[in-house]
Amino acid sequence: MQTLSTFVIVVGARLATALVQLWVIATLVFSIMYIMPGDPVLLLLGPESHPSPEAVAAMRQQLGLDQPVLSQYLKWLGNAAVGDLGKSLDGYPVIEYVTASLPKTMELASAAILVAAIMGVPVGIAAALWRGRFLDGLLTSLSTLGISVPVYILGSLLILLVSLKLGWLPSSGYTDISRNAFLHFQKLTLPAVTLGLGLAASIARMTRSSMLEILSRDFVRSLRARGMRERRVIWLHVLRNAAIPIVTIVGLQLGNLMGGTVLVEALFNWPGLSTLLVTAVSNRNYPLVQGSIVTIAALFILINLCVDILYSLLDPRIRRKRA
Amino acid sequence: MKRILQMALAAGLLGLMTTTALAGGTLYFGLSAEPSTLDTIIQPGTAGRTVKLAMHRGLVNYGIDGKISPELAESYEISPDAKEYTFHLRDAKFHDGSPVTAADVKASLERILDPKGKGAFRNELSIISGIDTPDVKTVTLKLSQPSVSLMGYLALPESVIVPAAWLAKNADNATASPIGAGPFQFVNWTRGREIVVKKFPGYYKQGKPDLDEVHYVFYGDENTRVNALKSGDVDIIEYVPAKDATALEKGPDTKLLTMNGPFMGLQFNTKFEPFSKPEVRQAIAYAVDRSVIINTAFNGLGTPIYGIAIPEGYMGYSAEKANYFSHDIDKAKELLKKAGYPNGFEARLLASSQYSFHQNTAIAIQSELAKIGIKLTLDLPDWASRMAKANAGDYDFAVLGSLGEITDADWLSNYYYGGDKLVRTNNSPYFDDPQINEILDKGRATVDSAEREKIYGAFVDRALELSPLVFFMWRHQDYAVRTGVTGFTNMPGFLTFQSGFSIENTKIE
Repeated sequence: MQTLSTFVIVVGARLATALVQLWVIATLVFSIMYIMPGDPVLLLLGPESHPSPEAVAAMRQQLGLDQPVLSQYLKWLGNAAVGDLGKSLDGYPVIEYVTASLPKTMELASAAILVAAIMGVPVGIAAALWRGRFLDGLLTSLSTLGISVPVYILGSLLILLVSLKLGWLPSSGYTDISRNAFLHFQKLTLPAVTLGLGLAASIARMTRSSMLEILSRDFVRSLRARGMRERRVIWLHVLRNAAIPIVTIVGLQLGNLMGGTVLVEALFNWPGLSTLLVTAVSNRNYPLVQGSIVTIAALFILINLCVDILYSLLDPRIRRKRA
Repeated sequence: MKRILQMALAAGLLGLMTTTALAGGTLYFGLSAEPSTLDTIIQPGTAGRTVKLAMHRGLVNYGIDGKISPELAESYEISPDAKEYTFHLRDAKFHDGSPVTAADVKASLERILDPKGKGAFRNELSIISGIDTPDVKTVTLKLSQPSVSLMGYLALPESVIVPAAWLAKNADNATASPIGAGPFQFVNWTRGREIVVKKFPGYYKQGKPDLDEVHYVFYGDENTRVNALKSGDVDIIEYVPAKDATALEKGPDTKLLTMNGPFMGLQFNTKFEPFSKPEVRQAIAYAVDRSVIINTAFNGLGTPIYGIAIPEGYMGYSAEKANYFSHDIDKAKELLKKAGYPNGFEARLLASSQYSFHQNTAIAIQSELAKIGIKLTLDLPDWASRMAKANAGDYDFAVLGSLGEITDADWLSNYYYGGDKLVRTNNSPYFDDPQINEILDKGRATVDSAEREKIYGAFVDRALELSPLVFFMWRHQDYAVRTGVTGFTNMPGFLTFQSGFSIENTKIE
């Protein structure tokens, strides 16, 4: 009971910090957008057009851009606090944009983690068990390569090989799962692999070193001495203990993964949050930029929070230490 | 039993054949951007125009041959003094089934003309002083002064006709589903991804369109767009990057539709002292080796310009004046000396890093002008900032990549006319020559084409003498299609950005 309440307090404190972080981010983004040159009204009325000053003024008023910056900021903040991210400059609620693109980014990121786990963990285990052998060398160098190659190069190479040369998979785009599920997953595969490979490499390396560390512990020797079957030792005891740093690395990398989606979504024309953000920036669609950045930031903070909670579930010692 | 089977088989085959013959299929069109709006009277850029031209038609439009094509107007007459235009409407229907009437035309044009409105070509069309509708099928436009260029502006995608009833309800509702009288009707717009349109069975052209559905998919990244075409994810792409043109032309799965469309040049802020002198602007025209730009920024694809950017065959074009300048560094230095800058000067050149060809053109110009002592600092912000600076006149000189909005010679007014607004997107800020203004006014009001030729001949002489704008080259504006796609036309010259019109003829195997 005691531990549960301290657990709640810890999580509550983290949530409060998260809110402050979000506020700082929102304020920063708001300021940056206003310092940046480029007039959204002009872009909205068509950059090649010569709209009348009255039309420009009318639109400015309609969008609330004629208000002093501070009052725009306060108004936006007040609305955001109750979950209203305002309207995009084209009249649609920002939340509609975000809820339409967020699941696609999440899907891509989840698929990438799946790819990473499926590839990374077995490779790491194999490398650890055959430590110093040829297989270890091969896998370790491959994963070094995997970490070093930037996603846009990897993605371009995959497109070149898998879709243009071999014609196995589409090179880009998105199809609704309800429209054609097969095509949906076909189009998901390349971006997920591109995004996941780097993470797979980190997971493999972390799995390897973590496994090696645990394997050298005394309790493993004791287990073996007691005649426990090797398979049981590895899977039940070593891997479970080795899992904590692996979860840490996945958690930490998840943030990077969100960064990676910017490039991967652009490369594969995946209509997720990053694509939304990039387009919004180039159109100076202030409310949309603010809305999507705050969402991305919230996601990032939430993920870190979840990782923290996950640790304490995996390792009661962390929980106790905090308490 | 056997007979029944045979009959069933035959019927099935027949059915299959007829469906094959009728099936227009679905076409995927890779656009270079997501349109900012589908509001008809706003000039949203090429991507938005392409979608608009699938859904809407005007009284007239530019046809695939580059000539004015009567669309919702079956025929029209222009009075001899060019002050009265009469249009006779055909029996056409809007997507909601209502007929296209004179009242719809009036409401649509009045919305553009609204002095407080957001009509992109309000200025150009504001010579319309009255719109009469003697009957439901006739519209008469009265002009405050004679103009022969009006027809060109009426043919633009920004002058299309929408139902008066729809406007009354939705003119200020940016999220309303658009309705027009074009070959395709709006289905939906999935933000961030695509706009879908479907065949309008009531389109006034028999047997058109052929396609059942067109998906306009947004591909902001040029490499992704090219890959999507190569792998067959899309069937047509616009804005083919110069570096990919050759490969797409070779095929075998793709075909390149190439066209000399826009020009690349320089606009000068004439308040920046060195650029207030025609000699300096001319010196720059002599100093820049066109082939350096073409090779640096366009992979060798493009045609040099040594005069004014008037396409061959357009009014004002003269083979004799086409080579007014040449690449001549000595002459450039001499002109600079004459202007009082024997050792050159320093200046800021505005371009944009968002489009590689704009940036690379700026880099090429920087290296070329260094040879005559003009030291450049490049200002390369993203496109939105570049446009904001251009519209504020906040530059010494700027890379200009654009074209004439209409094919009538009056397109030049947008670039050369002074008047009361001296800082515009495409002119040279603060340049205002009474003689040029007078020539352009006269050209716009002259009906007789032989006489117009003379007027624009005089314009070219004066414009070259003062060179407020300097031109370097025609750049290719290419579309690429998958083999099996036919009927899509890259429309000639300045009309390349209105090629979306030809989607009504497009077929896919």
